[in-house]
Amino acid sequence: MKRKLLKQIGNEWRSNVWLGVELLIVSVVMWFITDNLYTAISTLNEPRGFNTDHCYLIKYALLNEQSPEFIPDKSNSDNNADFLTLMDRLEKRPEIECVAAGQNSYFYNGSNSNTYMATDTFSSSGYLLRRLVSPDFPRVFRIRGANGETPEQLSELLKEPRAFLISDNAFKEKYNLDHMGAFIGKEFSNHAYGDTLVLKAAYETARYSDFQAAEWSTSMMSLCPEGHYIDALNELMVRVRDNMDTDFIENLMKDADSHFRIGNLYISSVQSFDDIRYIHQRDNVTGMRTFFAGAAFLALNIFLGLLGTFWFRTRMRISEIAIRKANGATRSDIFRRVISEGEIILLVITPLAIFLDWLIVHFEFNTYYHGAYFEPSRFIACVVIAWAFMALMILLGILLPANRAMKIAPAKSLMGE
Amino acid sequence: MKTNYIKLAWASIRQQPVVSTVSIAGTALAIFLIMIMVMMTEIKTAPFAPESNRDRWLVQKFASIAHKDWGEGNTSNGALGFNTIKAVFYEMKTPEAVTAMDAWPMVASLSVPGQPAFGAEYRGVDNGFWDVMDFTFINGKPFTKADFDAGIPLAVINESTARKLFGSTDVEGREFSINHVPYKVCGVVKDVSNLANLSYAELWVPFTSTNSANRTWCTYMGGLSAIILPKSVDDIPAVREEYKQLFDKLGDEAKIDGWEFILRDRPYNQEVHVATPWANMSPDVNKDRLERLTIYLILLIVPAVNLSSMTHSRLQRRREEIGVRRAFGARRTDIITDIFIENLVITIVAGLIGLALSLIFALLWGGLIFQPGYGVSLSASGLNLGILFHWSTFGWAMLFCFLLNLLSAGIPSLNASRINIVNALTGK
Repeated sequence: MKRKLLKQIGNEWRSNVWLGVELLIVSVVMWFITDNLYTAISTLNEPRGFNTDHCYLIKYALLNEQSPEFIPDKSNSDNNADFLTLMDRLEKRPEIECVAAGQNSYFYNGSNSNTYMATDTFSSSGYLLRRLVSPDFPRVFRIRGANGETPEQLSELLKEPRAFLISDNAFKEKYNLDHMGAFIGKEFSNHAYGDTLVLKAAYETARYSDFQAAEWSTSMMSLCPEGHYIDALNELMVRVRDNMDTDFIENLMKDADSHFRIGNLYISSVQSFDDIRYIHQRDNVTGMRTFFAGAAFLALNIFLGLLGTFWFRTRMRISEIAIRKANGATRSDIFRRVISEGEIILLVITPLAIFLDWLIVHFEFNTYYHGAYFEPSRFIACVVIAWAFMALMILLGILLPANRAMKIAPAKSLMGE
Repeated sequence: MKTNYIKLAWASIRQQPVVSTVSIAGTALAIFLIMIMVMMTEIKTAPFAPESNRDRWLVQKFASIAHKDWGEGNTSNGALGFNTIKAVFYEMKTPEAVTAMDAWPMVASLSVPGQPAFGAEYRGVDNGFWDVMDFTFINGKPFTKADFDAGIPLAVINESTARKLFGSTDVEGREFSINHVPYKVCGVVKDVSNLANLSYAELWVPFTSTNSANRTWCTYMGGLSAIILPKSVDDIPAVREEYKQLFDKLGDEAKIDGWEFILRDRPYNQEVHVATPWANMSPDVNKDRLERLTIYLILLIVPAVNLSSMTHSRLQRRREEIGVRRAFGARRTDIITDIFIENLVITIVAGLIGLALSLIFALLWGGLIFQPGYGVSLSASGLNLGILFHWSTFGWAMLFCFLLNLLSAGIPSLNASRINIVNALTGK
């Protein structure tokens, strides 16, 4: 039976070669898409190292001389004092849990600063993101210490003289060091800014965004002196208590002119971090959607291709199927035989498809993840997922023609013979 | 003859309805997806109002600078300062127009007495903005160079904002406040889509009337971007030459204080600008093109193989007909041409269905796939056929149909033309 099936597949080699070529191309592309989605979804599921739920960005500015409300004789230190008052008033609002200011500091922010930190013979590598912040920054984004420090404890450590905190993976890429614990208390030169800081704690790696793996996200944060907030910082973030989000933006804006117009300072708008996150990542989200759409398109193509080819094939083979049935083949025998044809073609092209997948990995055209383009478990998982998906689509595509073949009545079909 | 091909195509469809429907659906699906991809690119690069001059302008969104004390490889990258704008862009004589504007729209609090304030996206621009962009004024006019130079608080607002503020669009001369500063409306324009991300805002004011002109650091960097509009595409080399000379001159001045500009091949044409979203990266437009080409190829080849298999099946049923035609003197090239054109008719019909579906999909759900620029907009706004459909879009659709047809009917028609006449007529 099996030999006959193979012989029949061989006899129809011309159209089967087309099917094989199609399945081969789709197999490789489907594997590529699976591999890409696998790494994207794995990255999305990694711990983020920070939390932006219930967080808001408050945009503020100073009035200019065109405003009738502008107070001309305000010095820089007056403006700074007004900014501290603004932070204090925000903190006293019942729904606000904590307030922080920063420069190029908040998450899902396209504007960044970097530096590199060095101590003894050790130095950071790659892009070490630098956040200049006020002490409560770890509290607002619930950043936790690598040694179990709470966000509050990190905030306290940040207040110490010349303090800085660093992500626990800062020396991972260059020295394969998983933790920074051994460097706590050491002095580091802050090369981009020409000062010397003392490492007070390491924090759990805070990723750059949901789509950026931890391995690419090294960062540090240092304290901005309180007297320079108005000059050096330009971002104001708040965390709202968990159950007090309702109408927060509307209520705050309603009070913006009465409670938060201090000196020349005013609040211009408030944006939730849910929106900031969405806007920052929409390229990645669209990219993922495109991959899903691509996979659906390919799946539909296999479905249509097999449906069309096997529909035609069963029509051409009515007599043959009728003879089989007349010789005792059951309906399920016929069904299995038609389905097997498609699945055997898939099996035949699978080794070649795996070889092509491997070539893509070998030449590093796929996604870099966990420090490699190739991980045996990831490769096997993606091959199996792509294969199973294709087998399913083949089954669905042939189902209708196979069903049609099953229903052929031998007497009627062989009447002409 | 032309009608004959259409009749043949129609007869072929009727003869094998299932296989033909599957072929048409496959082709329409492929063209649908390809056209969505084409639209995703074109929406960022093709001209549409108010960015009607995208095909010839040069964009400098960001600048890059280094300091001798920062160490090798350390650079700062971001928007430009007003000093750089004045020293380079406002000094240019070759272009038709230049403009500088806030690199991104910002949210401002707008209010009129007796009404609650609300937030809207505003953009500081100069008077050249109105020459470079193609806005439709429905009331009033843009502010002038004298207004800009003097920092007069005038605003051009879009019609939605005019209605929100004053309940009407006939509001030239009316007053309202932006971030606690009183402004006067000088013009009202039609709403613009936020997909026009170099021009989009809900209101535009002279940036000399806001803090933008003063927002500067290291003398040369700040919060502004610039666009140069050459007189024609042929003028671009001359514009670049003048730009380089002016930047070199500024660079010489900057060197005295230890600063050095890194030009990164700026300014960019629209395609390169779109492909270079990060300030600290040099353009790699070839990578972008290669990615797009790979996607198009996959989207073409997979259905082409599929369709080819089905065309082959369809032609198997017409062996006798081809045999008769060959017996009566038809040449192989006649057979190939006829099958190719007959198939092309079906492909074009299916392609037009795919194109129509892609336009309907884009109009209804474009907010999900087309992305506005950096700002506070959560989804695309103002999508219409004028933005989505260009004759180049139609041209691309037809080209892809032709390629799909070439790939899917080429080999089957060659095979069909090789049929042995005796075998075909005896049904072997």
